[in-house]
Amino acid sequence: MRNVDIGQAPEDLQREQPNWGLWLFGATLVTGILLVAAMLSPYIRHQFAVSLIRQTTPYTQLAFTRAVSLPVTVVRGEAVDVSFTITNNEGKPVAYRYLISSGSGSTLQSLSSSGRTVAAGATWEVDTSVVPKCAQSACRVQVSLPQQAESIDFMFESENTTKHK
Amino acid sequence: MLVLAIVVNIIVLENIDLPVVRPVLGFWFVLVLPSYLLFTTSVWRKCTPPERLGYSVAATIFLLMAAGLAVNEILPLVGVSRPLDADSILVTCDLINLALYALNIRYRDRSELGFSFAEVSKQEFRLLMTASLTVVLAVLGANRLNNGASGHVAMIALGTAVLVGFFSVRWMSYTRESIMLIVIYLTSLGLLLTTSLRGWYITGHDIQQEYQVFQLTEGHGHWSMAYDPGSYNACLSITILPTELGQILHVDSPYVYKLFFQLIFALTPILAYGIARRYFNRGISTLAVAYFVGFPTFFTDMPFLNRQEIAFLFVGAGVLAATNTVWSWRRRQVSLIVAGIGMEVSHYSTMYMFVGTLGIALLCSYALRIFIRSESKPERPHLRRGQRLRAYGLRNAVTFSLMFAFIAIVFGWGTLATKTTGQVLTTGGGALSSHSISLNLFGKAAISPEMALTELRDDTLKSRGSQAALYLPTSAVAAASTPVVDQPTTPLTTIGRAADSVGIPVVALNSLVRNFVAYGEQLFLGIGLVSLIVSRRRGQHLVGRQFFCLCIGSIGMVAANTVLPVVAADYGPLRAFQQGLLFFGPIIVIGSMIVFQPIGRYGARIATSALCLGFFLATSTVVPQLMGGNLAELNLNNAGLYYDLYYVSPQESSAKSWLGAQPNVFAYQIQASFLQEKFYFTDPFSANGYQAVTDAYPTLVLRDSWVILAPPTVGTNHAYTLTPANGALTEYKYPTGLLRQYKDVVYTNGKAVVYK
Repeated sequence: MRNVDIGQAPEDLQREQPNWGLWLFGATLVTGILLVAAMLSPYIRHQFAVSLIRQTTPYTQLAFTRAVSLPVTVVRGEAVDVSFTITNNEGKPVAYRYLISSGSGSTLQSLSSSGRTVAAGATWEVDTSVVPKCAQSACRVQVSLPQQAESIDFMFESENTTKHK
Repeated sequence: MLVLAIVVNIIVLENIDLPVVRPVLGFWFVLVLPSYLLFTTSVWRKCTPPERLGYSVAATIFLLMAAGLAVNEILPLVGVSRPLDADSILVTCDLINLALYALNIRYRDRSELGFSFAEVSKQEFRLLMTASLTVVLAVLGANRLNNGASGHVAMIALGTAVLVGFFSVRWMSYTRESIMLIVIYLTSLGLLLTTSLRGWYITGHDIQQEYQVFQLTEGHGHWSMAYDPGSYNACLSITILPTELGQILHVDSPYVYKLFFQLIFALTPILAYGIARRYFNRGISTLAVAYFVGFPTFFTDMPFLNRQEIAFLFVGAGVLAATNTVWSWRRRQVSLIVAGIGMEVSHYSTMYMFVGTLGIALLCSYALRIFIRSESKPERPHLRRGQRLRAYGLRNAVTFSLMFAFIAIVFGWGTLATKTTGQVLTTGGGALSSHSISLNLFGKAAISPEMALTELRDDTLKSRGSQAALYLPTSAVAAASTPVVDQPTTPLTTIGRAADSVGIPVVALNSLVRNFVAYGEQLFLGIGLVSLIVSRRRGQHLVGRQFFCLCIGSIGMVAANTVLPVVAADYGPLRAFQQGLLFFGPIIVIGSMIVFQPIGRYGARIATSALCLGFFLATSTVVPQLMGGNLAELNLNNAGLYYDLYYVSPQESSAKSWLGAQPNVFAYQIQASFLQEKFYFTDPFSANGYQAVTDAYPTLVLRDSWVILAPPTVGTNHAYTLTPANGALTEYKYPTGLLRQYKDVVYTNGKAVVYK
C-alpha cells in the first residue's frame, strides 16, 4: 500500500528544480560577507556575540552573613559585630571599598571603611566590629558600597541588655 | 543506528559531557529513534503521514512515562533508592528501543514512506529554507533580547513566519504535502522558541511550578507524591518525562523545557493539520493550522504550560484515532482510551476539558438523531479521496461506555493514585466563594482597579483579627498608599508617528484590531457552525456526525470556561479556545469563506487567505510592534506585563540562591509580589514541595518574614497583586519606605533586595 502523498509530486503541474548553483553561490557569498564584516568591524562582532553567546550581566552582591540573627538590642557604647559578604559578579576584578556608618535619622555617621580588590566570581567575607553612634535609642547600622550604590542595614534599640532576633 | 545507540550508552554510562553532541544524540535516542521505529511499522498501515507521526510520537511519550513509572515503583522494592538516575533510565530506554526494533523487524511497513530530496521543487526548497530561517532567527532574536539588545531579529523571525504562511498558500499546488508538514513543523517551532527561549532561567507562569516538581523528581532520583502533594506533581509529563530527558541529554535543566519540550510540541500543529485534512482540502486545512498557531496563546502561553503541551499531543492523537477511517470501531475506541490515559497522566485539566468535550459530543449525537435525519451519503461533487469519503460515515467512537472508561481513568489516577482531583475542585470552589470570577459574562458590574485594591486592603486588615501583632503595624500600613498604575504602551515608532501625524489614532487602532480579531474569530466560528448545521439539514455533510459533535463539544467547553467559575479557575477561555482550535479551526475558515462568498469562489479564497494572514499579523504583534502604541509582548521586548511578571534576571536568581542558602530559611515566611512562584527554590538542596511564597502586598507583610523585592518594584516601585474583587492582576506603586522603616535590608545586588 502506497501512502497518500508521501513523496508524490502534484500531478498537474510542471515542477522545476531549484537552481542549486545560484543557492550555493548566494549562501557562500552571504557567509563570506558576514565573516569579512565580523573580522573588520568590532560592531558586527559585538552583534554576533549578543546573538549567539550569553553575555555577562555585571553585578555585585552585598549581604549580611547571619541575616537571621542580627542584633535587635545593643548596649550603648559597646561594639557590635558586623559580618557581611561582597561577591563579585562583575565579570572582572573589582576594587571594592565598603563603608560602615550608623545613625538615628536619615543622616548617618561614618564608623569604619576598608577596601580590597576581589577577583571575578570571588567573595570577600568581612567580619568586623563597630561602636554605633546614635543620638536616639533607635539606631541603624548601614554597610554600603558607595561605588556600586548598594547598601544593607539593620536596626536595633540601644539598651543595657543584648538579645537576638 | 546500532552504532549510534552504543555511542549514547557509552556517553551516558561514562557520564561524558559533550556539549551539543550529547543532547542531540540523547534526544535522538530517547524520542526520535523509538518514534521512527514505530512510524515505520505496519501498525499504522494505511494511515496518513500526520497520523503516523502523531501516533508514533504520542505512543513513544506514553511508553516513556509508563516505563518510567514502572521503574520508579519497582526498583525501590529491590533496593534501588534512586530509580530515575541516568543508568536506570538508560537501561529502560534501551529496552524500549530493543522492543520496538523487534516489532519493526516483525511488522515493517513495506510501503514507500520516504521522499527524495532530489525531487524537491524550487518552491518547496524556498519554503523549507524560509521556515528554517524562522527557527534560526527565533533563537538569535531571543538570545539578543536576553542579552539586552533590541527585538528586531525576533520581529524578523515573525515576519518570515508570515512569509511562510503566505507562500504556503500561494504555492500549494507546487508543494507536496510531506514537505508542507515539515514547513508547518519548522514554522511552529520558530514561533514557540521566540517565547520559550526568553530569559536564561525559567521564564513564565505555570512553568515555575512545573520546573519545581521536575527538580524535585530529578533531585530525589525518584518520583513520589510525598515530595509535593500538589496537582502539578501528579503530572508525569513534568516529573518523570523531563527527568528521563534530563538524565540522558545532560543539558542545563531549564532547557529541557525551553528547547526540547518545544521540539515535541511543535508537532501538534501537524496533528491539527491531519485532523482538518480528514474532511477538508489542503487550502482549508493549511489555513486552519494558521489559525491554530496564530492564536496568541499558542506562542505566548503554551511554552509556559509544558504539561499541557504534552497533553495536547495526546488530544491530537486521540482525535485522529477516533476519526480514523481504516481502523475498526473497537480499535478506535481502545486507541482513544489509551490517548485518554496519556492525557490524564500528562495534565489533569486537559483531560477534564476533553471529557467535557466528549460528554457534550455524546449528548449532541443523541440530539442529532432526534432532530436531524439520519446520515446520508455526502453529496459534495468534488470529493475525490476514498479516505475522506469514509470519514463522513464513521460509526461514532464516543459512547457511554467510552465515557465511563474516561471517568474511570480520571478516578483511577486523579483520585486513587495521586489524590489530586479534590484539589482542582477546591481551586474552582475557592474562586467561586471568593468571587474572583464572575458567574456570567454580563451579570457583574465592573469593579475598577482602585476599588479592587481598596477592598483588598480592607479585607486583609479585617482578617488580621487577633494576629495583628504578627503583621506590620496597622496604623503604618493603613497610611502607606498603594496607588494604581496603568501598564504603559510602547512608544510610537517612526511609522507610528507618521501615521499619527496624518490623523490615524495608532493606539486606538491597535485596540480596535485586537477586538476585531477576537470577535472576528468567534463570528466566523459561529457562521461556520451554522453553515454545517444547515448543510446537515439539507442532507449534505461537510464533516461526519462524530466530528461535528466533537466540534460542538469543544465549543461547549469554551463556553463553559467563559461562564462557569469552577472550570475557568483551573483552565480559562483562552486555553480552552486553543484546545478547541484542534477541532474547529477549519470551521472558522469555512465561516470566513461564507462571509466572502458574494465576491465569487476565487475571490472568497483569496480574501479568506488574506484575512487569516491579517489576523496573524495582528495576533503575532508584528504590525503593532512596527507602529508602537501597543502593550509590549515578551517575545519582542524587554518590557511589558509578561516581562515584569515572569522574566527572571541573573540578579533575581542570585537573590533566590542566597535566600535558599540561609540556615533554616523555612522558619520564616517568604513574601514577594506577583508572580510569587518565581521565587520557589529549585536547586536539589533546597527544593521543597511544601514551600509557599505569599503576597507582599503591604497589609499582608509579616514582621518576621523574608520579603524579596525585584524588578519592576526595584527600579520603578511598581508591583502586582491579585485582587479577588475583580479577579484580575492589579499593578500598583509599592511603598518601599514602609519596609525600610520596619525591616532590615539583609541582601542586595542592585536589582533584587531581600528584607528581613
